[in-house]
Amino acid sequence: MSRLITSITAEQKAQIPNYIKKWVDMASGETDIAEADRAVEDIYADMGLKKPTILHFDSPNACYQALPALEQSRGKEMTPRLYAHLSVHLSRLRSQLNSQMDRQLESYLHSRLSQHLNSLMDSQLSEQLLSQLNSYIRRPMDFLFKSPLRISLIVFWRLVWVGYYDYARYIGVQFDEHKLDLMIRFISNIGFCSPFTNVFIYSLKPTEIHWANGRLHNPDGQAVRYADGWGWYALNGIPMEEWQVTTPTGDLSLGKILLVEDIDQRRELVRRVGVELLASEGKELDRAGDYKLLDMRAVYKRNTPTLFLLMKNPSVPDTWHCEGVGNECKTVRDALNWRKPDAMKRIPVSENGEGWYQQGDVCIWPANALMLKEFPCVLT
Amino acid sequence: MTKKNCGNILADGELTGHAHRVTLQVMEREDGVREFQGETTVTHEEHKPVKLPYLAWNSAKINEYDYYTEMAREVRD
Repeated sequence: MSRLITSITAEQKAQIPNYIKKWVDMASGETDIAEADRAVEDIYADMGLKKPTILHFDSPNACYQALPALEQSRGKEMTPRLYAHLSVHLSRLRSQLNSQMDRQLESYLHSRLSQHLNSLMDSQLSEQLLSQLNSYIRRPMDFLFKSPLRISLIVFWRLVWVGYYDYARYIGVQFDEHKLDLMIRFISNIGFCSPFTNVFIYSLKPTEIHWANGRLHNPDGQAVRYADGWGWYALNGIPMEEWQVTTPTGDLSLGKILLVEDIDQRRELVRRVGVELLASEGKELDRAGDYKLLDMRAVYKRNTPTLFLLMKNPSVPDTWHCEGVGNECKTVRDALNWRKPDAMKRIPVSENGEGWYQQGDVCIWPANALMLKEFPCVLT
Repeated sequence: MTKKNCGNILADGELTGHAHRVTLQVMEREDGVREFQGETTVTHEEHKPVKLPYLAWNSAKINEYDYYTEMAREVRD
């Protein structure tokens, strides 16, 4: 019976950042095609299936392009089965870890290692890849065949778990080595795949992934780039359109920036041109704390009030948002009230009203409130 | 009035996949207001968490004015 691990040494603790780096780096770079192919063969054998024809392409986009031509020969969809198979194996490894590690230590490592990996591999890389692929399948031609997303699996986020187990093995947890080795070989080489009974299609890893402060970020080009040039742009963790990153700062017009619908993209563009330029181009009508009410009619080339509220993000340092408000606003206070959700505006405002909360662009208030305070008691 | 099950999500980020989440069941009314009940913490990848005491809660997104379409709408992120 394995002993219970209750603590780690200073040396083991010092290795945590190295393990995070090791597994973050694993998401990009050269794919070991021979090892990837062997891992696929082994996974299929593990599921009781014969070896499929294994095809690899330069990017998830290239995989999608190949799917229609394989429709007759690829066999049955295997995505749910592969998903379940990986989940079962990973949870068995998790059980082995839990039985050998003190709960307090497990909780410590979860917060220091797996949560960190999770924010990179899941919240950033996998979510953004999914978002890119979703926008891809919205194009009309893609409805000619079955939704590619339904028959594909994003494997990147499972790097979180094999990375965690790899570290746990280093500090002495004894796993079923055959299972762990299979999971590591498969997951570290295949970030994205479309599995069928006869054919297994996978994408090679991105050749480049650019990170800054734990977020996808590249001010000079694509943040994620595959060998065939497919990929996407991102600034400070926000997926951006190509022009938003590649247009020289001096050529970015404020009019164009203020037309960008997504407030996170707009925020990043404001950061690019500098909030000072925005403030200097608008006429300041009122100021209160970190808020300024600006009339941007000159930028919009209009003759009537064109009002924007410029405000500092309370959670992200040195970040400003600029959002349009109704042209009847005269003060920052008017603008803050104008922005409230319609259902909230119907509730009378009073000093004695109930407190409410705001997190970013979401307001939260007591459902049974008869009156509300004018401003949130907590704003983050 | 029919309500839509939104899982534990108060609002989704369309591009980032980030979301304002609670640990409770969230239902959306026909007017877009999302309802949940209980004590919880609202989390989001880019914002500090907000602790809420035990109550019935409503939530909705703030508005902004789009000078291109000349219409008010919920902010998009």
